[in-house]
Amino acid sequence: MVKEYNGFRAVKGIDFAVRARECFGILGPNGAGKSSIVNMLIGLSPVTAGELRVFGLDVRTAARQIKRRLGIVPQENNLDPDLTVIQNLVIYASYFNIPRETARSRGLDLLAFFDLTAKAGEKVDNLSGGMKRRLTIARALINNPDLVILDEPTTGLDPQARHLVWQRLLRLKEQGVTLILTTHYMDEASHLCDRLAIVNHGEILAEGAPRELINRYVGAEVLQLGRAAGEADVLVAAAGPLIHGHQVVGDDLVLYPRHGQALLRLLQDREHRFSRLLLRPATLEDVFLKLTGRGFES
Amino acid sequence: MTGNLRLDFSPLSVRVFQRHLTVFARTWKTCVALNFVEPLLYLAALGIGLGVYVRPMEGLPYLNYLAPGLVAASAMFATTYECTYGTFVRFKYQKTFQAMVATPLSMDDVVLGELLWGTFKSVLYGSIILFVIFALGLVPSAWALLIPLAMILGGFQFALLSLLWTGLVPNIDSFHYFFSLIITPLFLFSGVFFPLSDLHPVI
Ligand SMILES: Nc1ncnc2c1ncn2[C@@H]1O[C@H](COP(=O)(O)OP(=O)(O)OP(=O)(O)O)[C@@H](O)[C@H]1O
Ligand SMILES: [Mg+2]
Repeated sequence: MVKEYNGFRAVKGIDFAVRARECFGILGPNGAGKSSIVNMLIGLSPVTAGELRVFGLDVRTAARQIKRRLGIVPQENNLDPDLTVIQNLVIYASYFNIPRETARSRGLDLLAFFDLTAKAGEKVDNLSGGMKRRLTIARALINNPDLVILDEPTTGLDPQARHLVWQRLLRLKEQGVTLILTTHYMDEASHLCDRLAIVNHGEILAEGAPRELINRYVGAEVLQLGRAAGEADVLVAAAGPLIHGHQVVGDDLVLYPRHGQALLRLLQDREHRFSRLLLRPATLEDVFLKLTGRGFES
Repeated sequence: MTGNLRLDFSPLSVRVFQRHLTVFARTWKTCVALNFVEPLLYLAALGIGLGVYVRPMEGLPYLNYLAPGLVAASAMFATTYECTYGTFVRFKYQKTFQAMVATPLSMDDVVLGELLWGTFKSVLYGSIILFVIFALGLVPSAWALLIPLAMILGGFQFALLSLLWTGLVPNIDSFHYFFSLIITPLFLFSGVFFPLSDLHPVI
């Protein structure tokens, strides 16, 4: 599918399929096109070209049926500031024609699930950022959705709140709910996602399980050399068969070792020339660096 | 926003109306009380104050002439404020509509809900002022009880007009023009303050 805004291609013809009951991640830096994808999925912004089916239904013609079974957590919280916490859930439920009593009891359950019971009667404006986020996620579950779509569910949360959200999302998955989430946190993607697509400039660069992507593109470990970009050629030549690839990232040189310890020993006598010398497990970030040749936040 | 011109209404639009009613239920006391103030000020300043200097109009003392017009004006202002500033704030700042259309509600449902709500507010606020002038003894005939029915039609029209403006010129500064170019002239030149038959033909 393609998304254009006034001729600007934000999503450049991507293809992906999500399986029932999995957690699928869309991982990419700012401006990659994550929200553009999500907004098409939920029928908020029209697909410019291509085909998009949710539950096997065309988003163009079956928006209502799709949305009935969908839970949506937008990137920006849009809780109703004119209502209390519990009213936010009950009124939102009414948009699904859920009877008031059912909505209330389900709403209270959800508040408990997200540690918000004490705030039930509070005005939304009086919640902290993390509480608002949790309430937005709780609201997305009020209709017992089969698929929950979350646009950056934990951006701006402190580590504790993030872990709470992660735990709850994993529990939802156990209950058989399918999840699609966007994130620019590597750890979030590897922690939650069964499979993910790495997106940059509106294109999918790679798709697969986190571990599989790391193994495919980088290997188990990387050796990072701070301020070594200048002598990259010399170092790569010296490492010879001990590495199977390398990448210059800004001032740094990243080597993909075959034998991490052996490489480390080889380079240790030159250690003073680098601002740091670090052998560490490879992450999705290394996959992204390898695929784009640049840092994630730049 | 739906991207095509086919209208997509459903009974769910009533839920939008109910949402507004729930919000209103929390704040109605202050809203309604504040709404009293302005028409009463007009009644006092123009009806009683200025009225001393004004000869009877269409056979009525000026206060009695003015009172029913203020009912209509209240009804008009209630819906136009609601469907310009109110709707705009929900749309642009509170993102209430964005949240709504993530549910089975369509954008058309949301707009219809706004329309119903604007109409309702018009009838409600107009009726309240009607009740007040009735209590003040300024309503001579029981036929006045039918006025709220007329307000439904009027309220609907003004809600539609305001929503059209809000939809076409979604910009908070533009509402100033809406009021000074459309609403205020209607308020001044629609027979509230003086009979139209006496108006200079140029206007
Ligand atoms: N409504 C719009 N009109 C014009 N351009 C837009 C619009 N929405 C997004 N874009 C552009 O499309 C590109 C992708 O934006 P998008 O919001 O999808 O990125 P994202 O991956 O969600 O980024 P972030 O991590 O910052 O949320 C950006 O270049 C953005 O400027
Ligand atoms: Mg985004």
